[in-house]
Amino acid sequence: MRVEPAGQAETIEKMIARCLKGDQKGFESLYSQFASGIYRLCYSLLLHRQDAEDVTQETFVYAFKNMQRYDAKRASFKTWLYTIAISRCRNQYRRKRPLLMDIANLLHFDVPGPKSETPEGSLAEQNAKDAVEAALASLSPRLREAIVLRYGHGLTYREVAEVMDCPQKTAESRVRLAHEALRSLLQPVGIGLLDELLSG
Amino acid sequence: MWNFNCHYCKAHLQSYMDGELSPKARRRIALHLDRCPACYNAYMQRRDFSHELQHVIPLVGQRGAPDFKQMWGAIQAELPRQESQPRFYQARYGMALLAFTLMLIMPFTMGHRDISRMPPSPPAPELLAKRETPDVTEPVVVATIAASITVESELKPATLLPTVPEPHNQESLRGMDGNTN
Ligand SMILES: [Zn+2]
Repeated sequence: MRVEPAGQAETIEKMIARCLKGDQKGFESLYSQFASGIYRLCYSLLLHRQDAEDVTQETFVYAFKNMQRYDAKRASFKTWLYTIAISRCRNQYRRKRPLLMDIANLLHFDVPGPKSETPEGSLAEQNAKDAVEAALASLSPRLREAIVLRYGHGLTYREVAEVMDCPQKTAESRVRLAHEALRSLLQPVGIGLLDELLSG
Repeated sequence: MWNFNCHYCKAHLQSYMDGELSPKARRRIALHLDRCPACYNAYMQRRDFSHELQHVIPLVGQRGAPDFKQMWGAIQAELPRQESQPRFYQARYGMALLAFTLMLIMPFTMGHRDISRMPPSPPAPELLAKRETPDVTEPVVVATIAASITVESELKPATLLPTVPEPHNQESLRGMDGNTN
């Protein structure tokens, strides 16, 4: 199964081949390809900047030290990396207290002025992002993982299941439950308002 | 108007949007959505919300992202210097396999001599002497040290010779000289 488009997949395979030959450039290329995605994944799950940085770093160090364990026949490099990152994020949940983000944020974020006053809708986006971030924090870790992988990273249900190490049906129902939970959490804000913010 | 079809539609709306239903079930929902404004409204809201999530969730963690170059420096520092290490290991395993195969084949290739049952040959006396832990009180070891110094004296200039042994050793050496005289 491949996540990368066909043309890109070959490039990633070449990068992996260079890594296996001990070529440092291969590691650097893979890092620049996936670093921001892995950080974004870790941040969306941990909702803590320093923890997300630490886990991102750990993920790459582990992956690069264990490149010979990667089996291209079993998973794409992206899902392999995501699996490592998710497992490290789960360790982090166990070490830390539950997320204590103030859900009241959902109801108190600044409503932007008329569309013309917001610079290119960036404030609107920021507010929408803050609202969704607070709503994500209130989900259980498994539901958060499912919705972030599906909607934040565009993984198919099969890939979500692979990364989360669960049956595909479970992955589907987790995404569905998370979707419904977010809808009800963001209901006080109003879907129409969120829509308004985003159309700015 | 709320009926059985509305209930069925609500229960399967998300699966319908995710394209997970059978063609028959899809057709049933699609037909209902065309006829029922309430369900169509619910469908449109859910679809819009999915689009919003697809737009907003990727923004989480995008702002305030770390300095990735700096992080790369930290990652690189933790990576072992592994120029051609995998090939080196492969070569080592290959050599081990070759040695093992040779060990298995050797008894058959060397006629009827069963080398595995041959008694081990006794080690050379000089090897025995070198294996012993140096203990300066024992005269045998003193002789070994003296022998090693003579080897070193062949390699180094004679002026360096007195600085090599410890003071304790020097005393035993002097004693030994006295005995020989
Ligand atoms: Zn209906």
